[in-house]
Amino acid sequence: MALGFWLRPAAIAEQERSFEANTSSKLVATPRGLAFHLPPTNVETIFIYSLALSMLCGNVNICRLPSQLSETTRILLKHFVEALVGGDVDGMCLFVTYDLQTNVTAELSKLSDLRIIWGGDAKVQSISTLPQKPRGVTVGFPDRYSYSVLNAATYGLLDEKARNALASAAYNDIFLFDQMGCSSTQVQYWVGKKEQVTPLARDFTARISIAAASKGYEMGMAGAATKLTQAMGQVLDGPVGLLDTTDMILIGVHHEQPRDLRDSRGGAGMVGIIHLNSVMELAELVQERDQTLATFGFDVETLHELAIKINGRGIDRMVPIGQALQFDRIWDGQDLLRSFSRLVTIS
Amino acid sequence: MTTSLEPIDFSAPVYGIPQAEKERELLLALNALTRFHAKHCPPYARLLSSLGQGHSIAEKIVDVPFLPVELFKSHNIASVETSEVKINMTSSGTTGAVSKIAVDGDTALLQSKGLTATMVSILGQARRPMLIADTPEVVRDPRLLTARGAGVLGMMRYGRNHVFALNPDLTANHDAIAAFARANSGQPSMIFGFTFMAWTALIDAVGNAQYDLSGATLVHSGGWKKLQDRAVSNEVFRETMRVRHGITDIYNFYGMVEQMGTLHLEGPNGLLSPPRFSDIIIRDPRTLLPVEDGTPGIIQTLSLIPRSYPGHSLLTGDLGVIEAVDTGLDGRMGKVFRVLGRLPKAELRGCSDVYAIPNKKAA
Repeated sequence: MALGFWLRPAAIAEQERSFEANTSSKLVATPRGLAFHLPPTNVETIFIYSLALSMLCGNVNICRLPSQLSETTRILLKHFVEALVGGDVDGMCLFVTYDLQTNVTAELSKLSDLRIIWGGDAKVQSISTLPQKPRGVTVGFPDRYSYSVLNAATYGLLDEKARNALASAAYNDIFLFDQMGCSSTQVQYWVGKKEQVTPLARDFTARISIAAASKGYEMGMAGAATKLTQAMGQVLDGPVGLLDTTDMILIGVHHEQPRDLRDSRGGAGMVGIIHLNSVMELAELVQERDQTLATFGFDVETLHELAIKINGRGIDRMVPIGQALQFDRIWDGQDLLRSFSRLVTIS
Repeated sequence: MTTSLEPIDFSAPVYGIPQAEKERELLLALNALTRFHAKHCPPYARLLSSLGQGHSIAEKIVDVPFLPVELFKSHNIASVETSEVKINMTSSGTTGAVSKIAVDGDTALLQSKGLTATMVSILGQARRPMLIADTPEVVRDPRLLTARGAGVLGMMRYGRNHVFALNPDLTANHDAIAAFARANSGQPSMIFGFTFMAWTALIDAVGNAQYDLSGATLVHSGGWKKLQDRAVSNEVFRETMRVRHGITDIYNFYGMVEQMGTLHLEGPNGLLSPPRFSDIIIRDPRTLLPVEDGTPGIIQTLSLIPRSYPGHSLLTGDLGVIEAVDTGLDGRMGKVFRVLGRLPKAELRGCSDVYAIPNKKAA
């Protein structure tokens, strides 16, 4: 649904307009040539975004699909291909599938001017070693980590309706992609007085669980046991004040102090709850892998100051809670329309 | 020392106690175990306190806090000093991660007593000549025992004149099986093996050979997954054993290395019974709340045996269903249940391959 919205003609025209606003008569964007796409093995809709952007740039595309497609992906591809047929970009995209044990990836890499790799650190690193054309470039999407930050006092002032609306937005950030997306919220940092945070965070967790139930979120059979195991493992490993398990839809793990949880992801409904005295304390906790910071209750100036304080050590996007998974052409810190184009200068 | 806990009465009938009475008996002892582990295992105490159950006493056995069995794969959790650990038992992991269970002398003794109480109920007191449906390799080095090895070794105590049916290369030791059959023709003997190994040793490996093992009681365990992949159900298993070797007295049991000594043994109706010092609860896979009898869900196992580690209440990775309570069939009271297979692994999507977990459907 979000993808359809993002790809509708008006949105594409807006992409074009904003991209061209940044170019000039002395800067011409041209295609790079042949783009080779390697989506994640368990294909999700995410790779369609980079594929569409590459097509907009005028590249010829080869996209490797896994041998088994999920039903969602199959339907999506069907619509995508039908939309292309007969249009301006008909014939500009070739979907292929082949055994990964063969040398096809290496051979296609040799022909590529642009290579787009989704699927985590190991995959990006191993495929990046395969030679491309001498001037070829690779855009990799390695493992990323994302979280949110909330102003406890502001949340405390919200009425029922506003809290539920925020919970519904947070539901998207946590539960889409079963919390396994690069941009999925894994931790909620609550800024405020320590004694305030626990009850407010519990209130929010309960509301997100209700939102998940009302939106018909279906957890896999092993989901509850898996995340309970992960959450209990975190308790065994360090100080946790409260394991808020209520109905097992969203488990809140209330940590006693800030803690690196990057290697302990639960998936499908588990968030760490961590108290901070000031939002600026986040700057100390940010690491290179961090991508999206979903925020509630902080003004633009504050977030601007935070971005400067972080100084590029991590965090590529700050978005309001609810928009963590909204794809943008500026992704992982780069303008993909630019990265997928060759810029010709005229002076 | 774990001996500060009340002794378990293993002389009482294993199955003869009605459910309500059994739950009253178990509740006291389970609460004592929860308190004991909280006192001697600080990480476990932290867990209870994070769940808000630090000081509470369960009022019903469904309220006894449980740990997912998977936790023993990622963490070493013990209630005794390392110096007191007699043996570290490991599960036979198929996915790489294995459970590490710290067993001290006291718990090892209880495991053995629990096993005896259950086995005596079908084998009687006298030790029988024993055929093991496995290779001698599996018990070669007791310090490196796998669940399979520990199972075989534990069971060997109930037999004498042990004979292994398989050679180290998994071919049948025909001479040994033939000699065993001849020596015990028409007399009580026993055969033990893991379900898949029993099939391998007595059916696959022997070719067309038929042996007279009609006096033998066959006890087997380990799950049906591998055999179900080959369309061998419990019924096919029983029928084939009867037709080929005349074996009619067959007992499957359900148990796990994380609760060694607690055997849920098959009754004449093919259903499993928890012994007196243990019980099972079925929980909804999504909410983890207890379900009504007859509704399938995740099996939670309770047992009074684990003292050197907090394993007295475990959420397993298996699905099951309680079929009846207090049937009195063959003298069996309490819950009787069926195991339905493994809980399917979490299939989670995402943009990183690292988290791509293959979807293994339970058979």
